[in-house]
Amino acid sequence: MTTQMTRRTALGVLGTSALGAALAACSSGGSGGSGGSGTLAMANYDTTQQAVLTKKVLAGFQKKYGISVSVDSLPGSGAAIYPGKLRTEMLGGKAPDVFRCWGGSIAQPFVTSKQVISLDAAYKQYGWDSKLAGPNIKDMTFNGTKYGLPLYASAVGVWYSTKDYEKAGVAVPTTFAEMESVNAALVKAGIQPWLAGGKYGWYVMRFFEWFLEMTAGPVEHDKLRNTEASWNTSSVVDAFATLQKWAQKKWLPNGVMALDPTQVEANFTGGQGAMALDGQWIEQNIVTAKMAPSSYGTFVPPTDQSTLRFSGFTEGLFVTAESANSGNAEKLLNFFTSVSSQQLTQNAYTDVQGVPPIPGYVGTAQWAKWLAQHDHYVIQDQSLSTTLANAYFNIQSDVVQGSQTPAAAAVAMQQAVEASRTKS
Amino acid sequence: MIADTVQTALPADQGLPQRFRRTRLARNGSLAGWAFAAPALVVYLAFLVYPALTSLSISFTSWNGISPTKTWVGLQNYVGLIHDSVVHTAARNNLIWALVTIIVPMSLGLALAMAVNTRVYLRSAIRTVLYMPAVLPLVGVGTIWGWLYQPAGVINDLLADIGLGSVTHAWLGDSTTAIWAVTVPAIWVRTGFPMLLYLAALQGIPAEYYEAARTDGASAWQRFRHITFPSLRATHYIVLALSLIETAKVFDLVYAMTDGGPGNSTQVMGTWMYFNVFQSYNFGYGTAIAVVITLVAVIVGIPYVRSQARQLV
Repeated sequence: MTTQMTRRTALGVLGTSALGAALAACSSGGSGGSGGSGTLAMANYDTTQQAVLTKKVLAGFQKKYGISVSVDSLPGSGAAIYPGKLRTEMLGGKAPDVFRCWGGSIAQPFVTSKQVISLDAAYKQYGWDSKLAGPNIKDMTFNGTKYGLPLYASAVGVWYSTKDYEKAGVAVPTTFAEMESVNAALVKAGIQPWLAGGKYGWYVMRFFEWFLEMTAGPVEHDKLRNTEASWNTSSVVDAFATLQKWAQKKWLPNGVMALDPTQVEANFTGGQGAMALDGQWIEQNIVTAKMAPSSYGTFVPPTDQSTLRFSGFTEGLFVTAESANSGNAEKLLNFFTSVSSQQLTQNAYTDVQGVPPIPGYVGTAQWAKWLAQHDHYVIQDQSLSTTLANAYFNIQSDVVQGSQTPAAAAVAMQQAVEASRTKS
Repeated sequence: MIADTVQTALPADQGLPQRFRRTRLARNGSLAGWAFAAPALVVYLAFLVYPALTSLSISFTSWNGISPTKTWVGLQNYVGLIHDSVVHTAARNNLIWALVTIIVPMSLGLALAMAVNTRVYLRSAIRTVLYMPAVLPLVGVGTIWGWLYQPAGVINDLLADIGLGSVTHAWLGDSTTAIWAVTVPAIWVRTGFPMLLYLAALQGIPAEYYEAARTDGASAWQRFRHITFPSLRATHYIVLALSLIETAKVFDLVYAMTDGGPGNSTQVMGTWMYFNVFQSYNFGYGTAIAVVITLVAVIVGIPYVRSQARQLV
């Protein structure tokens, strides 16, 4: 009897221990919320180099306020993986106090699920409206409430090789017709006009949204992006037709839909094509590749519209609803809005006003001016829901390959919009 | 120990206090078995059964993966699968994948096993080289083959060098060729495993069979047809069953090489499940896809598990 009980007890203890150990293992890891009033947890996707600079800012924050901040970075993961990690941490009750994220439809689920708090009061308290560039705050505003603090303003523009332009005997185009003439001249000179990677859909999408801005104009384009107008319309057909033409004329690379967009920047600095439709971050590759500032240039994609706009997106900081120290978290956000913090992080595309440009980043400095001068439309895959964006990528792929006519593509796109509405 | 002895010694429950009366489990001697299995069972229940049942319940909701509330939608997600054109494409691709990556590796594996089952020079080294792709991480394999398939990549260069320039193609950039192109590295990776199993089985066939057949004047084909192939029956079965289960889980190569594209032309059930759960925030719908994948894997796996269980009895 005694022996039997002992065995049972031992087995019970063993089983419980195994379960306990396993559950304990599950509870570790992740960003984790703040442990006390003097600590904060932050999640971002800093690269190794950026992480070092962020830590310097956080050290300054600790020195000033006595609040230490732990950082959990997921470098290079992009919008495909990082939001999933955040989501898992939130579900597991381990949400960070502060996290960096993209605006638009990427941040939207966190807002609608009430996982982030309104920053309206903090905007008033710290005067962020006057510190930041106005156009980008709207990318962090949902249903009239400000949920994020925009710190990074990215714009998609044309980056070109001056050497290739000289070889082809062309100048920077100011109209769309001139742009197409440049393409033709580059082909004639034996130069691949554009570098692009269609593997994930979003790189080729940048061309389509540019064309749609041209064919639809800003007002209709915004309505289309917000699914307030029918996509089965002539402007959409024309934009798809232009995309198909660019693919068929090989102005986009051969087999573009299989190419990896992560190679585009490297291929540009490697001289494998004359132009890339990219953000300011491409200049980091250019500077790293030690290309002379005179060997490349950048310009706003011509749209022939009286109101010049370009594609852009915003990244910033959010405070989670789970944070026990939201006041301190907002204090941290405010610390990032200082010019000195932005300089310390070497944020080349800062949204904070009054930050001097980083030496050597000529194109980025130019884009900072354009971002201040012109409005931008939120990049399409952050305007459309992810389901609709995926449907668009599918249609775009067929158009580029020539297996779907532009007219059929417009119809299919509208059907996808309607299906998306029905589902929601 | 004392109690065990008493229980074993007495033929029935007569004279025993209530607590010593043997239950059916105790009579079968399986109570101790259950007790010994308990730790593993607890882990199994906690980390396999519970998540599986949770997933099943999520598949009946329209949960977005973040919201604290889950809205019950009944069978709506499963009905949605029937009408989802990408699911149709994915199911077709899974079928293509199953046929190609089972038949070809099994055939090649058998052929290679027969080839290396002879006294050839550097036999062990050749076997190792042939099996090596099977141990490589699939994402790495996919990335490398993705480079090889580039329009200006090695494969097109080789085709051009041997005078087949007209055949060069954007293999992964064309919806009509992409899924077939992805199956090639799958064949490369998956040939080693059946080769190894067939090799082991071939070495178990008595040489006397072949000697007798030769004496009777049987040709090489007749020896293969009437001795080798039938003797490998059990191995065919194992390879086929394991390959079927493996094909239901296809994800890595497609994800790494094409990301389901161009468009959705190379989506398989696994990648479409992933996109819905982790990128489109359609957690409920994606989980319904996962449930279907699991059911398919279970159904195709049942014969194999039963055969293994029979062998253990």
